[in-house]
Amino acid sequence: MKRLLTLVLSLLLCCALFVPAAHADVVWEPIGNSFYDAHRDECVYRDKAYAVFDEVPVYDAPGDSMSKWSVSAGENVYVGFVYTDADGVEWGATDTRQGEDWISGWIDLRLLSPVYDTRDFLADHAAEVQPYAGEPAELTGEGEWMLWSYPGSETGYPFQPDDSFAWKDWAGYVYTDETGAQWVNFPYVYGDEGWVYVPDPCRTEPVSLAAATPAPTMQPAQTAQPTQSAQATPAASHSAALILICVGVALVVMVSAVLIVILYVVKKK
Amino acid sequence: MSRLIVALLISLLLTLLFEGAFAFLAGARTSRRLLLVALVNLLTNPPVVLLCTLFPSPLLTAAMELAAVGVEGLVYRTCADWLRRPFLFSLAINAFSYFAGLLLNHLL
Repeated sequence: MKRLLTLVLSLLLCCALFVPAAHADVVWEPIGNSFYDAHRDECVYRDKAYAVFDEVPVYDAPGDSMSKWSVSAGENVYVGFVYTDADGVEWGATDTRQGEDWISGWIDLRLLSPVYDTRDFLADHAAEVQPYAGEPAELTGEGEWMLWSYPGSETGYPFQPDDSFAWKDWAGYVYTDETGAQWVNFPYVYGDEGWVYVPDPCRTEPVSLAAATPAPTMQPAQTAQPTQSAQATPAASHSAALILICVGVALVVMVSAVLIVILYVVKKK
Repeated sequence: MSRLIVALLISLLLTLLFEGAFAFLAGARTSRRLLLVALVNLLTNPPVVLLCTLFPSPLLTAAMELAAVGVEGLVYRTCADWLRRPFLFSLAINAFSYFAGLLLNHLL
């Protein structure tokens, strides 16, 4: 018996080593979300940020009645995968930090506004963007470079290229703006993507361009009214259902306890 | 709410299946002993799953699982005189059930 238990525990510990590896992947995936695990094949990779203009709930599964957390107005959410339900509503998989861990959930994309990004810029300016082919030949700047979301964007992230950074190997596209200045696109550099302003890579002030796309307006991605499946159940009936479930669980526990006492404690005596 | 009920039922059924099999292999070969294992799981599994579903948190899950091991160990110590090490049995059976569930989730 003792050897069996020891063997089983050892095997279980070995199995546990493989569990985290199942989620080791470059592409972000919602971790520990049973809905995603069950509908992975129906989800489409979106990889996009969305702006929130009014507090929006995030659910454990699309159409759930109880939210897991809420995103405050003014925040941006990252959506990795998108699931389209039977009513045609798009739900985005997103996550948030809770203490030391990350939890994932689903958010109704109709209530959000897509953030204009590099892919949108490349699509809108396809005729003016060229793959990098050697021009510009030089890209120098002392200190941190700024990686802008798109030419003329007000959103940028600093990164420090080290001495071995061969920027020409990482350059994707080149865009020439209306002032004649060039911008070099880096599809992937130090975990980020964006554009570097060639005349002054270290410039921290946004470059104002007439052709730059404005920030997302107050328009959500869709204007359709939420369907019945997406609307939150009225609070009263939700609370009543939860109370019923809790009472049911308590009954099961009490009956089990009584049966244990009758069958195994009293009868033993 | 229906998803919560389904989660409770599936978790209970799988727990009964896994722990029943483990108990059988560990020596619970009579219906009386297997019934005790089933009742012990009815005692602990629904409240643990309910609380961990309503308040998802790794810390709470760990605490609830440990509490379940403790409660089940106490019941086995009181009622299962055929077990020489009731708390070790409780730990092993719950660990088996927990990781078997994780593996099943991963495979599916």
